[in-house]
Amino acid sequence: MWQRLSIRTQLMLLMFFLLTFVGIGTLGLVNWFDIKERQTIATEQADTLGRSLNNDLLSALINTNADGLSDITFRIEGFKSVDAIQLFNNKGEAIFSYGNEMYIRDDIYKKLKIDVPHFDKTGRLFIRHPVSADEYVYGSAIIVINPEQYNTRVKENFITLLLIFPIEIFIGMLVAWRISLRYSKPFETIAQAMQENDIEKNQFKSVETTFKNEIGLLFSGYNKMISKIIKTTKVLRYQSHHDSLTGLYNRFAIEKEIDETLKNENYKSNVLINLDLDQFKTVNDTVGHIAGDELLQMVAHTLKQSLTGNTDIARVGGDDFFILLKNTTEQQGIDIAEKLLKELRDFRFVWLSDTLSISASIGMVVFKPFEYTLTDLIKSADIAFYNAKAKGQNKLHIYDENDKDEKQLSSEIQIAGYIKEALNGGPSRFELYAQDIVPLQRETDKVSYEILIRMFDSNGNFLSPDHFLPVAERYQLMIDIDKYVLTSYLKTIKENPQHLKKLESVHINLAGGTLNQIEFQNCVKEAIELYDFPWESLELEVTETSSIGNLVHAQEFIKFCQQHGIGFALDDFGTGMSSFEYLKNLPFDIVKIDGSFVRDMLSDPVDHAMIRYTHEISKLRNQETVAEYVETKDDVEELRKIGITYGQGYYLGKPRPLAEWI
Amino acid sequence: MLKYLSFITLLLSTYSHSISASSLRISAEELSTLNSSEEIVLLDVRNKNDYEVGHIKNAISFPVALTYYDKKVNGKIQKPQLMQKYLKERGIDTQSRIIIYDEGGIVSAARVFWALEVYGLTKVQILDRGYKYWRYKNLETSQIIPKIKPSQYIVKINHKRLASKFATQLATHNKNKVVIDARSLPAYQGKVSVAKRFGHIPSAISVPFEENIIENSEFESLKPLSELQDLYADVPTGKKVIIYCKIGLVSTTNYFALRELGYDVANYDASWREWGNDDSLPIEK
Repeated sequence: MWQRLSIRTQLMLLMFFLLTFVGIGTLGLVNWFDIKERQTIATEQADTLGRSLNNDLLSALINTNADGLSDITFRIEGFKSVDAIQLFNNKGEAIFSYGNEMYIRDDIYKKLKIDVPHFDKTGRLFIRHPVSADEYVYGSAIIVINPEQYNTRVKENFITLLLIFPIEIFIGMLVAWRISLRYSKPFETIAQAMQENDIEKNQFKSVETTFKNEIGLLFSGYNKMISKIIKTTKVLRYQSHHDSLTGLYNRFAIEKEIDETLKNENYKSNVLINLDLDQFKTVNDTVGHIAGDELLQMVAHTLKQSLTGNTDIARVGGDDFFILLKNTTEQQGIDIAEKLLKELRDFRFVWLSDTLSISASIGMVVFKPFEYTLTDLIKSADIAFYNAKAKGQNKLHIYDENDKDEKQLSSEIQIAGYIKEALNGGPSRFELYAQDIVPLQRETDKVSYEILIRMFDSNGNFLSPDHFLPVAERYQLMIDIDKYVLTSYLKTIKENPQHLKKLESVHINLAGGTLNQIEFQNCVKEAIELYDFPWESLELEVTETSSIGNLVHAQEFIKFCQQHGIGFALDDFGTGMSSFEYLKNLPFDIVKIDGSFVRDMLSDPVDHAMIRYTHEISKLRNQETVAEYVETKDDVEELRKIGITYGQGYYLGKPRPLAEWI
Repeated sequence: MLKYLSFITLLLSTYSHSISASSLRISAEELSTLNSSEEIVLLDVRNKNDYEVGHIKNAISFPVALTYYDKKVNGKIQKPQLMQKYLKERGIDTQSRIIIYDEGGIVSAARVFWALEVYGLTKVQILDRGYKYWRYKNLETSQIIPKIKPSQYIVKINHKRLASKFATQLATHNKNKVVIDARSLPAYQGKVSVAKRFGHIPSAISVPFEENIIENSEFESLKPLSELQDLYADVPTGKKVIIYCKIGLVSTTNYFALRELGYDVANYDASWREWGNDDSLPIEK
């Protein structure tokens, strides 16, 4: 309760209590002195009275008659302060009384000793006075005196003091109020300054005082604190609004800008660009994060250089940039975006001995004031970006309402996320399976198989390769998956070297572009140095549909592989636009005949013929053949009759976890 | 504040006083209906023999003679030691409520009334028309002498009710005091005297005792208040009165009448027996 009161009220109350205490104390003291004075007067008067009445009382004792007592009564009545008198003879018998007997009835007063004053509760004086003559005591008189009857100066002053008391309190309170005003003012000033400080706008008030004491210290301390806060706030504000790496705005700042732009009706049309580097991950992975950071800084610099005017640029995460073009039409936006794409494509990133070219994908949203909420606008920019990315590299996509294939995009993003997780050790994961490749023309106790990849998400749900492989393709993750499969397999074998004794051949699939990638080529080269593996047992499978063109550019690497005994298999032969020409020109050791031919070969003579020709041509080129999709015993018999080297299919063996093979 | 309070108290006490002034007499009917449990001391002031023959039930004998110091000399009031003894014996205190009765002639009862007031009693009344009327009304009488518990009475003098020679002397010079001669008109005029000198005390006015009494009646009694007011119309209220007669006996009847009227009155008990015989004192004719 007390703490809730303001300093001023507290001071006033304290002053009030102090004054009251002193006032009452003074009055009490004065009253006490007054009582003492009255008692002294009473005692003196009792003595005087006793002596002056001595002769009368003596005659009342010795020669009693009514007239005499009447005269005495009359005389005593002159003393207003005498409440009662009682006269005793030598035997102690009361023989005369004056005034109210009540005061004397009580036996205690009869026991009073001579001339010893006694004051009772009401303040009355009781004194026994001897009645004597010539040093002989004839009797005694108890005299009761009420000191209240005296008019003392103190009593008059007491009234004055009593009257002065409220005035004294009033003046005291007035002074207290003035003082409290003076001493609570500085606190109010500081409190008010604190209230008025606007942290949002970094506006702080400083305070001034003429005090040189503690209050002066408090004020200067406050001012110092405020100036520190202003400085720190500036730094923090910059940090909270800017990306430390590039010096561009961060997500928080750009979103604020976007939000303000959305609400600004002066701008009829604005553009938000979501720009993402296509090869940032590759740069990070091949030349390292430091290079990646350097690249981001250079890109940021380039963006700043080429974008002028009413433009905000932000790095909102990773290699993701937002560019807000205020008061910009769609056409202006497209011009700018295309200019950026061109500049980035022309950009050469040189790091140590490597020179990398980069490109970017741009999603763009054109928006009017209040057309979107902030969240929707950013989402739209993301969708536009993913659509651009989906088109391939170095593409611009302008957001259109029909883009709203959000679910698909978002599920692709999710799957891409799972893949990245699996590559980086979980919780989503890959598992290697293997399916038998069985020799049809001979018996062997050794094994051959094709390595297949299976995927499980973080909850352990199986994800079909049909689902995640296209996504991996789109997000340029195939090379990572291929590297992962190769190295995982090699690691497994290294841990289980005894398996090599029964291993005849292992087939590993590669995505279309993988063979071309230096990164993968390096990976294989490192593996050859790192692992003690019978490389002649390894067959790299390349699909016919996507990779024929690429193989031409990878001749050198293919040669390198062949030198180490690594073979190549042409997968899904017969499905694409390929011709037998390829079989002649390309360095495949094995041709895998697509399952669609095998499935119908017993009923369809064309398919049957296709298989036969393929076999014959392969045989001429000293290439072995593998028939996929072998489902029945009849299939096996027929293929064997044709002369196909190997069969693969559910009849010959279903894919099983690699662990079971070991 | 205290002053105001005391002023109010004074007003109240004055008021109650004025009431008691008119009720110093009590009728036989009223007395007979008084609750016996009320602490009343009934005093029979007739002589001892009359008392023994019959008295109002619970009455105590207090013959009027006991109020004289020496009746042979003058009407001076009894000595304090003896008065203290008499009152103690009868269980009387200054605060006791007393009702006095005589045969009916008022004179004896008035004398005792005065004496008790002088000795400090404050609640004293007289039975109107006395024992004679009581008997006439056939109200309860008795011969039993009640047992009495002695009181702690100590002599206390109300000097306003007792005038000494000196006080009377002073009054003759004081315009604020009235001296009343209760003797017969001839005595006032100096035609007769019980002392060696004739006349009256200087400045005294004459209100003979008989004029207070209804005489031509079967039951002698004091006049009603209205007639008494007419009788003392010349005496301004608020003035102090000193009353005297031959020996201070019958003057007590005037005294009682004046008390009923609310006067501050004192009885000069030694009366003309003393004044008329003292050559040093002035007289008028």
